Amino acid sequence: MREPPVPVPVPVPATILAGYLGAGKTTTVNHLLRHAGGRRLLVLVNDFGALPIDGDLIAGREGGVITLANGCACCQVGQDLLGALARALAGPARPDHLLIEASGIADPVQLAQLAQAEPLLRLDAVATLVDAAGIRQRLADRWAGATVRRQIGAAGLLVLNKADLVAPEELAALCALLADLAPGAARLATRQGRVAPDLLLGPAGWRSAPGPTGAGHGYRSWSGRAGGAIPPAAMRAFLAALPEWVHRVKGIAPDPAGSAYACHRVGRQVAIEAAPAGTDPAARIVAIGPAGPFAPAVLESAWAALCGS
Amino acid sequence: MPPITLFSARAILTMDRNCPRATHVAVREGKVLGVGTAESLAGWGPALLDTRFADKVLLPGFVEGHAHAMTGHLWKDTYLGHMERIDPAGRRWAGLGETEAVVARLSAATAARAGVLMGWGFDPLFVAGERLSRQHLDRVSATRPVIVLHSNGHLMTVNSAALALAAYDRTTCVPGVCKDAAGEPTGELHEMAAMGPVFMRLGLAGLQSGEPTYRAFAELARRAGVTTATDLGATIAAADVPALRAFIDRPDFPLRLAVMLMAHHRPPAEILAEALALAPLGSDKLRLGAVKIVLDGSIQGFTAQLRWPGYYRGTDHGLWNIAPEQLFELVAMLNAAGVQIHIHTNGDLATDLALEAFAAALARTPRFDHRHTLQHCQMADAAQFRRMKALGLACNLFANHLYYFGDKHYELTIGPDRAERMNACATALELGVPFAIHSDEPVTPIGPLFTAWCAVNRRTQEGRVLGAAQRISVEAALRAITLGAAHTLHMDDTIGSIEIGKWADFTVLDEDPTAVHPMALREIGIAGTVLAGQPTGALA
Repeated sequence: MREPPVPVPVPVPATILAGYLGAGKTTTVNHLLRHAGGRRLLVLVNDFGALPIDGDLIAGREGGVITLANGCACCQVGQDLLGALARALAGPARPDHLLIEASGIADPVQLAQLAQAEPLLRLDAVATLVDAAGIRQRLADRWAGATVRRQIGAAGLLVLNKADLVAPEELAALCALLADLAPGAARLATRQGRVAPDLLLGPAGWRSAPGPTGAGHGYRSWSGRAGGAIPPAAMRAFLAALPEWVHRVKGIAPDPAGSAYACHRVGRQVAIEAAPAGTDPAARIVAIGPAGPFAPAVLESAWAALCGS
Repeated sequence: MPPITLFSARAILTMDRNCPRATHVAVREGKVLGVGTAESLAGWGPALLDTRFADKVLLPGFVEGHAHAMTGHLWKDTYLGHMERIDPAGRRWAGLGETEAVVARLSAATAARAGVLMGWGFDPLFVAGERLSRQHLDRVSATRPVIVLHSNGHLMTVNSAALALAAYDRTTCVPGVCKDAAGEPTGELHEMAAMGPVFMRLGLAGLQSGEPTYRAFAELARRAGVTTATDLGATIAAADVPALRAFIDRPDFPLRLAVMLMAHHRPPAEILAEALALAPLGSDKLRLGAVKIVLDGSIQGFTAQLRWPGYYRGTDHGLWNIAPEQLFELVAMLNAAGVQIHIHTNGDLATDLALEAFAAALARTPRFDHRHTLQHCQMADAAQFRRMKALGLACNLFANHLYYFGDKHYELTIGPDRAERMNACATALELGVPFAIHSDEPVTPIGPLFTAWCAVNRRTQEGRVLGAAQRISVEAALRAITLGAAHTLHMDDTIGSIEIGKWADFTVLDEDPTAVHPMALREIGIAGTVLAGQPTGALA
C-alpha cells in the first residue's frame, strides 16, 4: 500500500518593510491593513513597544496576536523571530501574505535572506521607507548613517515618505540621491505611508482571479494574456528590459515543456521560479506603475513581441 | 558564641594594604574575623585549627565579571573545539585537530541521547584534513539530524537528515546554503538566514536557565577558582527570583551570582520597572538590579562599530543592537532612577556612543559612585579612557581576546596599531579607571588566572607579544580579577579582598602567583575554593 503523497504547501510571499526610526513604518502598516484588498495579511513586527494598530481595525486579541475584522492579523516578535515564523506557517490557516516589519536598526538583507532560505516562504520584496524631511540629516549622522545607507541599498522598492514636507525641488534632488544609493530600486513618493498595497504586496486577487487589478493610490496597471509557451530566458529578458516606471510585474507562463513557472519583477530585480503544483499554466501577466509615466501601449507592444504575435 | 575556624596556609595574599601577606585567617559566621598569624588571632578566643590548606596559597576568591550562565546548558551537547576544555564535571575534553576526530567524538555520543545530535565549539580553521561536510556527518547518523555549531556562532555544518528538514537540496539556490562542485549542498550553512529554517524545525526552545544550567555553570566557575560570577545579561523577571534563590541560597551551591537584566526587546519604562523590582529581591549569594545593554557586535565577526579608518581587511558589517536614539533615552532613564548600567561596546565607535550617552545622562542627573561600566571596551584609546575617568565609569577589558583572537586582530580585523593597544590595561591603570578583566565564557573558557596571564604577558596563540606597552604586573592583574571585578559589581565592600568583615571567600592555589615566572601563571593548579568559610569540595 502506498501512502498518499504529502502535499507541498505553496510558499507564502513575504515582504520585508525596513526603514530607520521615524520613517513611518507603523503608519504604513496601518495603511496596508486598512487596504488589504481581500488578502489575509499577517504582519510580524520585529520590534518592541505597544503594537500601535489603529483601534477601529482591531477585532480581537489572543496570545499576543491582534486580529482584524478583514482577516488580517498582526503580532510582535520580540527576540524570537524563528518561533513566530514557525507558528505563523504551521497549520492550515496560513496567511496569504506575510509582512515583516523590521526594527529601525535592522539590516533588511538578513531578513530577506531568511525569507529566501525558508521553503515555506517566497521573498516577495524588500521595501525601505525613507523620511523625506529627515533623510539628509540621517545619512550624515555619525551613529545612524551607515545603517540607513545599508537599508536603502537593500531595497527593491524605495518609498520616500512624508514627501509633502519638502519642496518639489528637494524631492527631485532626493530622488537623484536615492538613485545613487540604490540604483536598482523603484522609487516612489508618498505621504502618511499611503503606498498602493498592490505595489508593496504584489497584485491582489491574483491566485483566484488573474487579471487586471485596480491599483489605485495614483498607480495604474496593465495586464496581458497569451496562448503559447514562453521560454523562461525570453521572459527574463523581457522583464529586465521593461522601462523604469514599471515598478512591479507578476506573471505565470508555460515553458516549452508545458510546465508553469512564475515570474516577478520588483524595481529592477527579476526572479523566475517554478509555479506551485496545480497552477493553470496559461500565460498571463500584470504590471503596475505610477499613473504619470504609465504607458500601456509600450507594455502591450513589448508583450506582443515576446509572444510572437 | 558561634565557632571560629582558623585556616592555616603557606601564604595568604589578601589584596589589603594593611596586611598584604599572612599565614592564618580566622573565620566566624562565614566572614573573615581576622588575618595574620596564629598568635595575632588568638585573642578572639578558642578556634578550630583547619590545616587542610597548610601547603597551599590562599587568595581572595576570584571574581568573573563577565560570563554567561547559559554555558552550563551547552555542555549537554558534545564539545568539538580545537582547544582542550574542562566540563562541569571536571572532565578534560582534548582539543580536536582533525575532521576524523570530530566524527569519532560525535559517533561516540550517539548512544547517550536520542533525537537531534548537537556539537559545539567547532572551528574549521584549526582542523586538519577534509573540511567537515554533510558526508562526514552522515556517517555519524543517516537518520537523526546531526548539527555542528561553529564557535563563531555564524555557521553550522549539518548532515543530510538535517538538510532534509529544511528541504535544502540541489535545487536550493539561496545565500548561505553552500554547494559543492557537483551542485549538492555541502552541509555548511552560513548566517541565521540559512540556519534559521533548520532551527525552526528542530523546535529548539530558548536556552534553558533553570537549576541544572546554573549548577553546571557554578561547577565550571568553581573549578576555575571563581567564588563570584556574573551572568551578564539574562532574561529574568521578579517572579523568577524565588525559584532561583531556592537553590542559589543553599549551602551546596558553590557560587555567588550577579545576574544582570538584559535590556532588549522592551520599552525603556518596562526595563526600568523590572530592574527596580529585581533590586531588593537578592540575597547574600544573589545580586540583582543592574542592567546590561548590548550596543554593537564583535570585532572578529566584523559586526563591531568602528571609527575611522574602519576595518583593516574585510567588509564592515557593523551593527547596532539598539538604536542610538533609544540608547540615549534608556541610559538617561536608568541613570536617573539609580540603576547601574553595563554596556557592551567592542568597537571604538560604539565606545564613543556609550560615552556620549553616559555624558548626556549624567549631565541631566549627576550621580556619585554610579559605577556604570563599559564591558569589553576592547578598542578604546587613551582619550576615551580619560573620558571614562572624567565620567566616573569603570571598564571590564577582554584580556582573553589577546590570546584567542590577537593574531587575527593583528593580521586581519584591525591591523597592528589598534591590535597592540587592544584591551589597554596599562592605560586604565595609569589613568585610574577602575577595571576588571574577563573571559566572556563561553566565548573563551572561564579562568581568571589564565585571564590574568593574558593581561600580564599579552601573548597570542602564535606566540606574538601583542602590545608590550600595555602589559601589567602580576599584582595588578591579580587585583583586576578580585577587587577590580568586585568594584564593577558594587560588591567591593563584601568580597574581593581578605580582610576583617568581608565574606570568607577564598581561592586555593598550589603555588604563590607572585613567586612564579609570569609566563607560568596559567599553569598554577587550582586546588579548590572556600565560600563563606566553607570549602566547596574536592576538584576530582
